[in-house]
Amino acid sequence: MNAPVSRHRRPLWRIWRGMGSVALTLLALAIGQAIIAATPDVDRSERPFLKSGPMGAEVDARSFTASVVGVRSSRIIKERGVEHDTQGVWVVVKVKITAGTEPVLINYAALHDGRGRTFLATDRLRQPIADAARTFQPGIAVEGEIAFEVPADTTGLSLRLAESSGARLMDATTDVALPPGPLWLDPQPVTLDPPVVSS
Amino acid sequence: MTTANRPAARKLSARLAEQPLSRLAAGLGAIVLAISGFFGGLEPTQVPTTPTAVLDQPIDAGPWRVTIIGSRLLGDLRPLVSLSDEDNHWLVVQLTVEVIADETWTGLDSIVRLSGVDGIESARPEHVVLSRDLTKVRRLHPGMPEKLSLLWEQQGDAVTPLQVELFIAGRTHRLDSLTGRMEWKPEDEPRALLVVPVEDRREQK
Repeated sequence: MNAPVSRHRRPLWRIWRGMGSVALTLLALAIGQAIIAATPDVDRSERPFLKSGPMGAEVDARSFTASVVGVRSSRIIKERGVEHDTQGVWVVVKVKITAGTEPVLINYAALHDGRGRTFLATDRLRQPIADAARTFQPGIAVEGEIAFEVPADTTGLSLRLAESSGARLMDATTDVALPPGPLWLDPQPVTLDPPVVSS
Repeated sequence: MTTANRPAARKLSARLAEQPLSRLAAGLGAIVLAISGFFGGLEPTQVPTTPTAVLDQPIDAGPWRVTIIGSRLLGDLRPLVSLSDEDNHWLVVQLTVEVIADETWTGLDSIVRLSGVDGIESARPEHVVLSRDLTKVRRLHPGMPEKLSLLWEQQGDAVTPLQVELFIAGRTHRLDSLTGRMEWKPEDEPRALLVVPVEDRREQK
């Protein structure tokens, strides 16, 4: 026959049991928080898919392919007889774009630099192919230029193009590195070439 | 503790131990609340007031740094922009904006709000003009501060202001509770308030 539990021990046992419940609850919460911290956040899990490639090579961006044909830079860009200067540098990128199976608009055009900054195509002048200015038809390659304005000290530029705009959640985006090193500045004002169908 | 107090203390602890945990927790919470009162825990919250700023003072407002330069009234600005009525005029606020976020910023018309001016349709400017080449812009890029002019059209028969109140809007980079993404969200309170004198230059070109 077991000895009865002394009267003054029963209340203390209840307190210990309560504290144990609290401790287990806190432990469960801590484990849950650790799991949350270890899993990728939404920004990372839904980020755009970057499709890389060297200059001159075709990069597949799901609904279109793009290749960087050339790069020019200058301190002044001219449009319709009006000169636009900049405190930074104008970078003009010539690209060849071919839509896949359906007509495509390029709604996102940006330069990404080595410091993690993103520069959208300039809106100080009319863009002939960026900002959904032109519809690209399936199978027809079109060469055109996109103008960007970047700080003079920027390096490590890469061209990013996508069909969707804004957050571009889980959408394909090109990521083509431009020539490294300081940009050579054309002493003359540059003008954007009109888009042409490429053979 | 003396020998005479031991039975009383043991009796008290025994009675406490017999109480339900919820009642013990409530009592402990009441004690903590009472103690916090001695350290300002029960003081009424302070209503936030908008900090004031002055001309040429840089104001950090999240993704951008704003410096108000001045304000003026201007007449016809064609061909850049056209007035809806030839008797109206433009109220122009000049400022320098530097994007300190890591990406091109759009929505330049949301940086400054006008307040208390008669004959203006909206607190947001109707046009944002880049002073460098007098082009209308919607984008500003990181690392390149630019001088901008914000334009509001004022009715010709409205009282022309001698000064205007400007509120600088701010944004905070935080988690959006709906999308789960980090975004620049507008703040409820403006970052700064400025009272800016207005120069009347309607007769000048």
